[in-house]
This record gives sequence, C-alpha cells and structure tokens, in this order.
Amino acid sequence: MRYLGKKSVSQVVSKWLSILWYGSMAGAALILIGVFVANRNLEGFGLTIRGGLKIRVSPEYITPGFDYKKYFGLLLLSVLFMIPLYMAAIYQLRGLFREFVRNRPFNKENARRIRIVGWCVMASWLVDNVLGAALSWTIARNVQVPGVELSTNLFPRLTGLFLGLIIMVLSEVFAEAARIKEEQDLTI
Amino acid sequence: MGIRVRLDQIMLERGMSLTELAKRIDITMANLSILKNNKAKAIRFSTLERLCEVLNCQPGDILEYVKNEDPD
Repeated sequence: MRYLGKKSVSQVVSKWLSILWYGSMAGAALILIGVFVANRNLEGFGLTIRGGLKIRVSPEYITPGFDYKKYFGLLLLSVLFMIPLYMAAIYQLRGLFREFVRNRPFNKENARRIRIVGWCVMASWLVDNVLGAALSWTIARNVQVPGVELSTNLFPRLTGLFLGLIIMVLSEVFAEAARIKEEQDLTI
Repeated sequence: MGIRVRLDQIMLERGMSLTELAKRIDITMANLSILKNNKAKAIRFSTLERLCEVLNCQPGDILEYVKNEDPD
C-alpha cells in the first residue's frame, strides 16, 4: 500500500478532506441557524454527553427563572469559537495532503501547516474545557431531577492538549526535515 | 559571502559552455546553474573532482573564500 503520491492513501484522505471541507461549510451554517432558531422557543433542553448518551430535560425539572439566554449564549459562543478552529484545521490539512499527493512532504510550508493545526487543536481544547465547564456548571445548578445527582468535574481533560503538543512537535520535525531536504537538494 | 564558486570565470578562460560542462561532468544543467550562481549549500568531492578533471584546474581555482563585509 502506498502512502504518498498519486493513487495512494494520501489521495484518498485528500478527497475525504475536500468533501469534509465543503460539507463542513454547509454544516457550520446549519449549526449556527440551529442554535439561533431551533432552540429559541424550546421547552426544556437536550444534552449530549461525551460518548453519545443523549438526555432530554423536561421543563418541570428546571429551576424556575433559569435564564435560557445564558445557556444558549454559552452554547453559541462555543460554536462560534469552535467552527473557525475546525475549519482552519481542515483547510490546512487539505493543503498538507495535496502536497503529500504531489510527493513533496518535506517543505517549510507543510511544517507551517502542521503548526497551525497544532494551534487549532490546542485552542479548541481550551475553548472546549472552559466553555464546557461553564455549560456543565450552569446545567448542574439549574436542573434538579429526583433521584439523579448532577455535579460538574472542573478538572480539564488533557487529551486535546496532549494531542496539540504532539502535533506541534511533529511540525518542528517537519521543519527540520525540510531544512535537511533543502540542504540535500542544494548539495551538488 | 563566505565561499564563492568561480566557475563562470574558469569556464570563460577555458571557453567552455554550461551545456558542455554539464554533459562532461555528468550533472544536470539545473544543478550546474545552482553551483555557478553560488546558490549551492555544499559540493561533493566527487563533483569537485570531475570539475577539476574537466577544467584542468585545482579546487582552489574553483572555490574562493570571501570575507563577510562588516555592515558598519
């Protein structure tokens, strides 16, 4: 199985990323419309817990006077932060894999692309943890279901940070490889 | 500037074209141009050896050290 060049895994991934790029643009627009419109007059609200468990909270279990605007404001803020980060990462990955298909993995531009993806991953980790904690805290304070105890764990999950740091190191490895490649290309 | 390649001068003295030299030392025109225009980062001993052989000269005739000028 070939990983670089034409008719390789890179070409397949490159095509997927292109589909994801255009699909994401449509998806981002739908999410924004969804947050603005669909939830505005909602009775109760829905939650999706990491891992896919979905919970629908009926209005009778929500503290009277709970300010929905705060909840949806936080939700909108996290969407507004996450979408550009996600789109930027996909855009850079598209460029990266196009170069892989052209069999030019080691150049300064690719190192820069990987570094941007690393920053996006770390920034989304930060947004996810900060706004996620605020959302969890808001919900835990305002939802009381008999027999169910809701609490928030504010200790950040470190997976995203760890992944971001690995990607940053990888970008430096690519920068070093690009430097060696340039030197080799200019050795006559 | 550091190390300067004086290939253009020697080629002129020997009356040899870039195409002919590239053919005789068996490297591409593109690589020879990089060398001639001082864009190369390094030169292999094997390339230097072939250049000296074809141009009938010493490595010192091809390479020259130019002291970097102080910007002040």
